[in-house]
Amino acid sequence: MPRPKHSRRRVSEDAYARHKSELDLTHGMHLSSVRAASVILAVGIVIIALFNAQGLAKWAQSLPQNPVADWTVLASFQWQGWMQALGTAEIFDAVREAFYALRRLPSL
Amino acid sequence: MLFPTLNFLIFFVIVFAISWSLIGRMAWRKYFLTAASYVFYAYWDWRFCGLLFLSTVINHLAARVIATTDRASTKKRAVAIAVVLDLVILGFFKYYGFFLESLDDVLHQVGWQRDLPFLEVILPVGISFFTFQGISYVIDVYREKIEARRDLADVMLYISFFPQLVAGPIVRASDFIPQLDRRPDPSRVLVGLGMLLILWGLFKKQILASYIAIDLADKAFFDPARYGAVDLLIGVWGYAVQIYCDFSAYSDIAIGVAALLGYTFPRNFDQPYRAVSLSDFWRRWHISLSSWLRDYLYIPLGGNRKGRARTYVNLTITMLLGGLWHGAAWKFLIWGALHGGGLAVERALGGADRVVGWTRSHLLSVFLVFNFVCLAWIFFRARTMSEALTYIAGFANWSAPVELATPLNLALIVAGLLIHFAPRDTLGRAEGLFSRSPLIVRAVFCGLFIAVIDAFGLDDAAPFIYFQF
Repeated sequence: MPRPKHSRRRVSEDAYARHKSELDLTHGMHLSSVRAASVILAVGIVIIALFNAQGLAKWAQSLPQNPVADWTVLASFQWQGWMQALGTAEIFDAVREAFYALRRLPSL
Repeated sequence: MLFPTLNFLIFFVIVFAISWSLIGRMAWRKYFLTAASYVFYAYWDWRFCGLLFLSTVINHLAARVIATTDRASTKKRAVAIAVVLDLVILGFFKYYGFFLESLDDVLHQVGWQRDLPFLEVILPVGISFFTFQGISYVIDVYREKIEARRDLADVMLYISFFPQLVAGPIVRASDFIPQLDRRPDPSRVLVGLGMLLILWGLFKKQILASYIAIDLADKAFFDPARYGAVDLLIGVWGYAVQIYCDFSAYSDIAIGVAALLGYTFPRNFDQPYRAVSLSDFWRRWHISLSSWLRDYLYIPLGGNRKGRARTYVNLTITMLLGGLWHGAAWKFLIWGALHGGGLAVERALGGADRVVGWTRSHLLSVFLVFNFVCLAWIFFRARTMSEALTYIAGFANWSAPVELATPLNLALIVAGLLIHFAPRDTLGRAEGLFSRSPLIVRAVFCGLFIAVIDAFGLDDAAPFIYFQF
């Protein structure tokens, strides 16, 4: 019996359709609003800025030199000073140091 | 612009805010996302934006020809021309140097040396990915799986969409382009899935992949002759975990970022190191590439429908080209040949189920497959063939002191492997827990999680491994 004209294509499509349902990551997931995502992003950025003020200052220094970048560098240093006074920068450094101490453990 | 950087965070926050503010004007949203994607690409090297545009125009024109003609021969010719042009562009940037070097070697060996036109060709980042997406578009239009788009901007956005542009996943045109016709609902966004995938990706990249790379795999592969069998074994197991965590992290972040913008991509990894056979491995590893190769290469070659011998040949050709897709080097061909040969042998032995039956143990099958995959990774990771052979020869050296088995290295490897044995619905459960929590809890959790990763991670994020492909 002759093969249908597009049999190869059909085999490919069937295989892909079967596979596709297994690859769907969205099935059963919850939906939220863009507003919720915005709040999460905003709070996340604030927390990073609180704890990693040093990283922020380093990033500001890497910007190409111009008046805006100069102002950003100054502001980031001022922010870093405040965070050091607040103590959050020390928490960040302590966590990092604890992990680096793990890295220095010798081979078994 | 790397995902785990402040530059990307700022870029994403701007794109997120503007794209959702344009939700009432879909055409403008599309143009904005396309422009943002080109800016993202230009950040790597603005000179290649023209190449990205050229690739898009070629595929768009071919699809328009296919859509507007009734003649089968013209459709066929259009798809053939587009695919050939796509491959010529890819071939020039990716394989020109390799081809000339190989030719030079051959001519040198037969004593017929010539001055060949060597060029310093820079590899455009993501070229393998966007070329395959372009080919997928033209072929899907030809196969009538999707309609050719009238608006060039649709094809531009599909090919250049920034979350997947430089390292995949290779999203099918038939999966993505129909999403452009639907207006994403700002009150129904996959926020939980998107956020968790981004956090999970950051953890895998910044902690597992980065530290395994610098403290273990890079050392073992830099000078394999220096180490004994135990270190080399831990080194290649570590590399297996590193490449999985690195590449799957990129895919996870890409899927998460796209989800926050209102688009969905399919899963690209599915716990690959719990595979019980090589065919099972390829259903779990870089799924978007393996299914692309299956549907656009293996099955058109005849797949398994033309007899045993032809099936083995088709498998080997597909995997060899899969290896070559990764890069222009003999080591990638050997990597592809090992997988192609392994798949052919597995099929000759009666298929994956039979092989698992012979081993009489599910765990033993997983162990054997994992170590075969690791053997192939040695060729993939080593800088040269001779380095790969030195690495393998080192497994005979059991007298050297063990240097790389530090508690942290071992813990990271174990963590990277344990991920593979977590229940399959772990992401769904975590997402349920996350999404049911009060908003402020979710926000603080995300912020603290990133801050902890930031504290643990390296100062400078290393590029993802798959950027070089």
